[in-house]
Amino acid sequence: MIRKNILLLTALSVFTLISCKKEESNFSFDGTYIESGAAIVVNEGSFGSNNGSASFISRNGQVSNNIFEAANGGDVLGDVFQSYSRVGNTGICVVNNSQKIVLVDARTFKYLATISDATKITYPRYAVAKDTSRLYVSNGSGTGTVLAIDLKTKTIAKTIAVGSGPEQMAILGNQLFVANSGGFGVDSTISVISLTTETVTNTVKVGDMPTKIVKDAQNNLWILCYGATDYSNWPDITKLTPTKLVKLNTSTLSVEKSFTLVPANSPSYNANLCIGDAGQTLYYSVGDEVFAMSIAATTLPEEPLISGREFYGLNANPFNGELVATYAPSFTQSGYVLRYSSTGTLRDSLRVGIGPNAVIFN
Amino acid sequence: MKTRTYIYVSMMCFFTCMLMPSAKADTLVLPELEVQASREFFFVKDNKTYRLDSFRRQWYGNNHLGDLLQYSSFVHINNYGMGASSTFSIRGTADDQSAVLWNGINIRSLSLGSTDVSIIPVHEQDQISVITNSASSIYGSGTFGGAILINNAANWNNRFTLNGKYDFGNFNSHKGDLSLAAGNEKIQFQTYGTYHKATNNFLYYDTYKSGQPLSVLQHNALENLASISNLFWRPTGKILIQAGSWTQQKYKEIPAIMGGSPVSSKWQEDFTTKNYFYFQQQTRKGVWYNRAALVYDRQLYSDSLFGIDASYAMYKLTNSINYRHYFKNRVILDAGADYYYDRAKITNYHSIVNEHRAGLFAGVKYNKKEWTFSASVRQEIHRYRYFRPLFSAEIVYNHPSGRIQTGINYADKYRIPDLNDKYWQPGGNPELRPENGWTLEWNQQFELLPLHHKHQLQFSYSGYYTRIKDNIVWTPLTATLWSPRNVKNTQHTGIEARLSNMLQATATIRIHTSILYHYNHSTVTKDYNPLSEGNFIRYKPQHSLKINTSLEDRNFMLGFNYNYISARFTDEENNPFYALKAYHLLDMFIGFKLSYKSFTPQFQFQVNNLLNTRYETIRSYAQPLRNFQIRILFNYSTPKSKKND
Repeated sequence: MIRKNILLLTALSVFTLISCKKEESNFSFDGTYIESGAAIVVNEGSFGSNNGSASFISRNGQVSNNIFEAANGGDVLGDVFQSYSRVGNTGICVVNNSQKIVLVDARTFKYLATISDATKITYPRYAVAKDTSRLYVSNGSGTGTVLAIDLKTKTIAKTIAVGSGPEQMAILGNQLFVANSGGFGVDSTISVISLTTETVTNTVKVGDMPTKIVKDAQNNLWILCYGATDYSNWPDITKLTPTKLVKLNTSTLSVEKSFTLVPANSPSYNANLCIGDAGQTLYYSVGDEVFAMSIAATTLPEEPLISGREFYGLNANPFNGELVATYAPSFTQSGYVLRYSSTGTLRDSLRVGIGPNAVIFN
Repeated sequence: MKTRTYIYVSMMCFFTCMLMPSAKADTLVLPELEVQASREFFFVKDNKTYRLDSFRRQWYGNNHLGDLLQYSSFVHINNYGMGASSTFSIRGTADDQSAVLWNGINIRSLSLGSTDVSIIPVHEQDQISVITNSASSIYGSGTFGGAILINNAANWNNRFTLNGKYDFGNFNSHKGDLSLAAGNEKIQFQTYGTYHKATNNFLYYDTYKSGQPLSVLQHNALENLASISNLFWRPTGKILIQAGSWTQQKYKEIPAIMGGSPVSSKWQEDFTTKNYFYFQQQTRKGVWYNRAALVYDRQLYSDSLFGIDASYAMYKLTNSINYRHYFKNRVILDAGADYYYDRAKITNYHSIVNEHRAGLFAGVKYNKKEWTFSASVRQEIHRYRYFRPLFSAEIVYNHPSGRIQTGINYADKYRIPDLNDKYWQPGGNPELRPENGWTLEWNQQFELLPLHHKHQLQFSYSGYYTRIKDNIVWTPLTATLWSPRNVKNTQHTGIEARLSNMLQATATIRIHTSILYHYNHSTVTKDYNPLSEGNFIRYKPQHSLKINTSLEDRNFMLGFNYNYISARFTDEENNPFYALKAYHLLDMFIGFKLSYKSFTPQFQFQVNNLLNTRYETIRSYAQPLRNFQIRILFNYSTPKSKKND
């Protein structure tokens, strides 16, 4: 019954999506991809096919796909473009299955350099920069590390052991917070790294499989803990441990709030998290529903902002308050970016590359 | 459980009854060639099949079936790199929509549905044929494109033959083969063993890295050990008993794909043993055929980076029986039954899978002057779901001059979901429908010159149209969970044309040239993604051209192979950014042969990829540049020995 519902929902989602207005690319490059309100879309591509790509969405909603290929004479970015971030005029592309970090000129997407060291960069996920000289990359599907990279020499300066399967990170003051998801196993901790000594100074238990981490307006962290999943009774997929939204007080390094999004022993749903409204409003998804919640809230919202659609990625536009979601119908075809008003009204859908997982605003 | 037991017991009783020898006297002279043709060949022998010639098999005899087919047939090979697995596509269909049968046994993987042609040695395989007409439907599930038949046959004239071969080449490749055949008019025994070891660390241009640097492929070593043995015994002129075994072990490191780090932590080990027993008895008006086979496949895939150690073990038991009756009015009736028992123990399945299925088959053939009519019906019996009967029919006309043959055929086809589709955890979908469809083919063959043993010029072509409904595709159910569904319809249209010229220039010099052109238009007609409708199917070239030419003298051989494959899309929406470029490949072969009475040593030199082409058959998988092979062979055979080919 559950599987039928999922099938039905998926079919409905596809039908609704194809009914949306689609804007084809008519973008003409005007010299810079850095534009307030514009965004880079991270398209993973299909695993093993070296077709990870970047798309650009201009402020007025025009799309340009394959911008790396276009800027670099047809060269490709790599296999599974996992994440993108920017420090100054340098764009940092973490290419997961190519085990490399590609640096580009963020204005033109011209290739600058590749950082690859297969003995250390085994499974890179996300990157955050302290400044234009120091970059931190979470790495590892099992035993996890954070790689401290010297952006001047483009070499790995230090390898910091953290929990297993490190995913998203956040820098607050002089500390780096790393969500240890467990990778193919289960972890439930946040590693706290001092950026002065580049050593782990604390490990905080939050909930099983922390993956997403966002910083709010009060300099605290909100962490989505996905929870462990039991697939062994397929087609019934259940949560062994709950999916939680956890607030971490970064001063006391203690869990201040914890909301259960999906309880244990109930059907499992995909979940996602982002923050908008200048760090005041959290947006999270559970299955095919997206909710908005104030960081001051003490209970979870009851009514979803958007329902009927399951997204692969969720981001908020810091410039106009839009909620921007990505949809990947499969990994052998184009994906879509759907733009919603802050009240959940669909504005448009934009066709981008294969498997879009995030929209990163300038 | 009761139903399964009932079917099993019934089939066993049926087969046991069938095996009882007939005591009737043999008084009717039956057509020798047809009697010797087992069921898989009986319905194809009146129409064209592509049988690979001895020169080509000798040239590529030290490689695998994929290497042989990609140059010598219309079959398209997708290769994951030197020494790595290769899948094949016939007429634009998927790799699990065509079958490979070794001595009548379907050797496809139960879990994936496809066949890795890189582990099939071609040396000492006596017949390799590509079947695309309606007869391919009688082989059961998964023959939309057709079937490749590999058969071993006895050479009853042989007394003793010993062949040895040592091959070495680039990338530390060393391969040795030894084959022996011995016997007399009543019994023949063949055995063949091969061992191959290579590091396969070839140079390639990494087209997925900035600047396309020249790189060395790492972690690509291969070690392969195989043996094939066959015993043929005809205790009387009316009985043939045949038994065979093929055992193989392959260890293969799996390299990283292009574009990233060259370091990889993956490897795979395959072990297989395939064993069969075949019995054929001629009666007064017909012939009984029975074949039983047991196949065991084991695979271990390991990736230390991801902590994966996935194993599978599968058993396949098949038993088939058929009786062919020759009526006086040139009507031939062939009817029989197949029984299959599949058992799989796979890490990602919830439990051990046991499946039983059966098929009933009847076919009729009628010859009248220049015309041959044949028709067949097959009923699949499977507790999983009901299958409607599948029909096929064919008409062949041979012009009285013997220089023109025309045929038209139609066949219903289907493919049962493979075990991964049904049982993989999570995602497996036991509710899947079988893929189903039909194919229509028209073909003609012309002898362009008057029949002459010194100069033969042949032209043949086939036009085909295939529709496949309910193609099984793994699609995302949620953002992170995939499951197979029957969501795609496809159609495959095309023309295969072959021009073949054989010139016996002198008593000892023979020049042979063949040109094969294949136009294929394989498209998606319906899909869950409307943007892919009307698009080309991924990895199917629209044009391919293969030119083979060879010159053979008594002591000298020279040959060239040219292969052109047009561009291929790699995504469903046919995005040109992700398309693979067209490529040209040229290989050269030169050989010298000496004869000292019964002893024939040979020396061969082969250059692969003479043009140093950069190419891909699967996106991201490196292929070697120009490379060499040197081969030393010897053959010893008794003076009366003849190798029939």
